[in-house]
Amino acid sequence: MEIKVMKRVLDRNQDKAEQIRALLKENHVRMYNLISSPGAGKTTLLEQTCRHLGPDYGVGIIEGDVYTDRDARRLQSYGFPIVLINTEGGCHLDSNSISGALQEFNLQNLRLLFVENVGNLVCPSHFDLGETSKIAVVSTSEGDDKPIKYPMLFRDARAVVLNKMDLLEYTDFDYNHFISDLRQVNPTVPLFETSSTKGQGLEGWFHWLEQEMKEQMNK
Amino acid sequence: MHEVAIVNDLFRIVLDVAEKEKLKKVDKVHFQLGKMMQVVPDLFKFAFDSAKADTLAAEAELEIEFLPVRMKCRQCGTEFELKQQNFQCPDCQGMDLDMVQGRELIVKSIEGE
Repeated sequence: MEIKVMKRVLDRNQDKAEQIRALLKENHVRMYNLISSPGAGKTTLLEQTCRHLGPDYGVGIIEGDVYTDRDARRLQSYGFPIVLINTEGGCHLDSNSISGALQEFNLQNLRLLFVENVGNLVCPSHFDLGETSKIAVVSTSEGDDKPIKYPMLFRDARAVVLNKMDLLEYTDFDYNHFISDLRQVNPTVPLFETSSTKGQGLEGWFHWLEQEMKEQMNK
Repeated sequence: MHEVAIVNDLFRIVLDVAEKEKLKKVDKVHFQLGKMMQVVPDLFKFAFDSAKADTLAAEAELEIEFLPVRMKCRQCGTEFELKQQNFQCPDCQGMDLDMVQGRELIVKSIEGE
């Protein structure tokens, strides 16, 4: 006998993500989910961003790490509340783990919450965390073909950071090819070209973030 | 490896339905999979076979129906199948598109007795 089911897998993740979205909205907190390959520069970008915003901005960080607390320790010195989620080998964060982490924060003291997802371009883009927006971070040393290979992330992303621009001349990264692929996948997404380790090209990213926060205040 | 998380959730649904319908065993699971989900079929089947052991679905076969990615142009309303990641309307060349199919992860039906 055949039984019709028609049920969506990952519905539970989606339901929890919607609850998180509502909770954050109620508390006027914006949450950005940073997604990249391992080593693209998410932590360094966050370090620069924390330094720029300063300890009174109301920033919180949820740090997704496969096994260690190394990234969380790097970010601790900036004085923001950080909650570490070790996925014990899992390749992505899900809304259930974010929901648990949110209980560790006093949301009333926060305005801006960064989630540093596990380094991976595929899995994290399929799990809604209840974020305000996804941010895709890529680097020149990874090759120029990421937007076309991982279209879901680059279509969903509200901003793209192309990092390690200082290494461009040492790689075979084809800049024009990257731009053309990115625009084919997502014609309008803002792109910020940065070198996080050198602190270069970050003004646009900071400005964009601050504009986003202003929009939040005006809502 | 989001395949494992998807399979785990798939089994939760399958076993829940099997229990409600008082099935003694599940023979087949019909699953719809949107191509934008970037699921690797072999990995997915491997995860399915690993998860089914010692359950009502221990001998179940997985049948996957792949759904192509379909886009709809917001300017002219044309609906088309996405090929070669070419996110452009074939009629008006517009690039403001909505994805209308391709993200499905649906347990369509199960067979059992």
